Amino acid sequence: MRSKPESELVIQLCNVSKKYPIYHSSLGKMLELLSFRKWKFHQEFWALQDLSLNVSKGETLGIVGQNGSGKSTLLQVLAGIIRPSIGTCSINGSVAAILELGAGFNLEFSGRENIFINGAVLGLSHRQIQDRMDKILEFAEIGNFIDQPVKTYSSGMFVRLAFSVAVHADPEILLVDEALSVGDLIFQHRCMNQMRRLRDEGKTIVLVTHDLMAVTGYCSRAILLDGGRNICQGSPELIVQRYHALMAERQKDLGRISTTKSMSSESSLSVVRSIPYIQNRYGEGGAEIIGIVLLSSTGEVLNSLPSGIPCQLLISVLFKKNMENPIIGFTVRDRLGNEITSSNTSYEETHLPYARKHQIFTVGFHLSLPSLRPGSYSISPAVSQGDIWNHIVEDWIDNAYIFNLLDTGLVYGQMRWSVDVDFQISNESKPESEEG
Amino acid sequence: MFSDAITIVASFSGKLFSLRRLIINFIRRDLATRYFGSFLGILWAVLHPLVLLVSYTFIFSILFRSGVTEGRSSEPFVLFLFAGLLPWLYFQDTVQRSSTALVENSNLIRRTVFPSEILPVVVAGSNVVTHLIGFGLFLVVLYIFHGLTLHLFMIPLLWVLMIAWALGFAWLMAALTVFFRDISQILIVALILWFWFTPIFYSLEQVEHRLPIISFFLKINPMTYIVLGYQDLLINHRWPELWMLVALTGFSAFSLILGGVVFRVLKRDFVDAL
Repeated sequence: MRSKPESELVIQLCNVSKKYPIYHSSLGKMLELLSFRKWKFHQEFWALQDLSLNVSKGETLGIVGQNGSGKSTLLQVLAGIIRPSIGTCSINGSVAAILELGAGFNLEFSGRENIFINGAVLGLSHRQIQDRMDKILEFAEIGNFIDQPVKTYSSGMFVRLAFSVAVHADPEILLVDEALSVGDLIFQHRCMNQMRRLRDEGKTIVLVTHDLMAVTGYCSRAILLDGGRNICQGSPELIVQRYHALMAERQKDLGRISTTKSMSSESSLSVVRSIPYIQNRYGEGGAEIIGIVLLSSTGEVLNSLPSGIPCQLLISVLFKKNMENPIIGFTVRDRLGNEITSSNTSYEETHLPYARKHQIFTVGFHLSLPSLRPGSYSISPAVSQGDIWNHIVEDWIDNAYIFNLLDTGLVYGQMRWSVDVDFQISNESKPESEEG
Repeated sequence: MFSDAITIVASFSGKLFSLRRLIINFIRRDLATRYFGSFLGILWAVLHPLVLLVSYTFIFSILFRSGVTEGRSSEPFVLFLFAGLLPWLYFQDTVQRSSTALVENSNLIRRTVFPSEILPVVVAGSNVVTHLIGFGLFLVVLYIFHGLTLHLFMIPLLWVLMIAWALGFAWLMAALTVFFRDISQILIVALILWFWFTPIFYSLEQVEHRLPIISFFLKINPMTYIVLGYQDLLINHRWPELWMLVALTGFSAFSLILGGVVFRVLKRDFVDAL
């Protein structure tokens, strides 16, 4: 990466690791400090591990990675807010950072007072802030609220103010966390314009984002973080590909745990014993969903598939008590949570038999997905007791399974209907002239 | 080691000076949140000491006519009491509020490169304003009921020493509270005990021969010298003894350097602990 001379490097991270001790009780923390750290009462959590990074002047670096991959910690290290536990971090030049929403604001103070606080933190003198006040206010568009306490601000106003102060502080290095996505589209465009201007002025920008379009469209280089490690760096396009691959791989691993094994048992439906995501789960608990997977017609685990191919959704349920009239079903939602479709055994007129305690029911739904807009979709499985009109939910897991529909370039709008087209060509008939 | 401390103190004070506008901003804001939001506003800063003064007058001139006052006439006793109470209240409030100041502003400290050392300075500065208001009120009362002398002009020297002592101690407590949240609770209890080990309700002579242990604690307590200074200059109309001023200067310088150095050293780990 040393294409430019060393003097041009503005950020140099050398084998940086950041450890957080996790104490299970304050007593342990007390004893550890009293023993001058001879006794250990904590577990270690490494938010960053052996991370090295060089950024040259004028680069725009994108940082991508899943939640918890260490992106924000890295930004805090770059901003000089936290010290690495191991390794060195040297920064050449003034830094302005826009971290999480509302960060760096004192909620009781007015917007104007916070501008002075933030400005002073960014190294501006009182006079400099006064000189730039008009520009800052003009860009932030806070209006009369500027003299109100910022606790009354909307999230959009927060981020506009923070961004405006940071940009007008004229930093040599600008660090931007995901906060920007809070603003509306117009503001995001204006931010991008400002950042392009800074980039063209030769300023260095580090951008953490989940918006992969921004990475490919704006950054000159990107790195991919996973588990606090810098697992890949290179062109934005390469990193975005690797990021997608990483996400798909992760889900596949989860799905593979039991299905591959059970698939070989020759039975047409085998018990699934893995659930990729469990965040929101509710129900009476009389039955428990123990697995969900989406398979191709040949029995492969699917995480990404082209629209319109046949596939099979397997849901396994363990009964904790005897149950009459169990119903097993699912709901499919798009990325924005819009319900696309839902179905269950009762809708499809498949009556499940009486379930006994400790029995496992595995239901296969044979689907032929219509051609939908490409993107990610989620499946929420459910098991309940009763009939369609009157039932008790025993277990429901929101968005337990995520799959991606690939862009086949064939869908315009929400979905593609199956449309048969025929046509005929005829001339406008003018009976009078033709006959006459 | 000593020269290290000097450099730290020098760079520390330099930084504080360059941040003076920010500090003034915070002080104004601190006073505003304490008083201006309320209906009576800054009047509360006057009312608070006034109510104290009136209630002590009532208690000691009517309820306990004899007893604690031991042969003095009750009016000077109330004034004597108040002369000691004013600097004590300054010290107590500065230390108490500073100890939680960092935790309360963790949003700024964790998310920005915030100069957290200004927070105890802000508390100390804001309390100077309320102290001056109380002091001004007390001067009026003294002028009417007791009389003022030129000794008054030595008070600013005591202020400097008092602020230095309180600020150093506040830095120390603020930094330690980040790591041990219990400290602000311990302080509440400790300050109550400390109050009774300071000659505010009684004079040094009253305990000197009867209670040698207490008299020892009084001598190593810097607040004793500040309180005695106030009482001497305002009530007894005499100059404080020189050795007391020297001792107090020593205590204040030690407190300021220790507090500043400890704060500087611990500051690096604030973000992890907050």
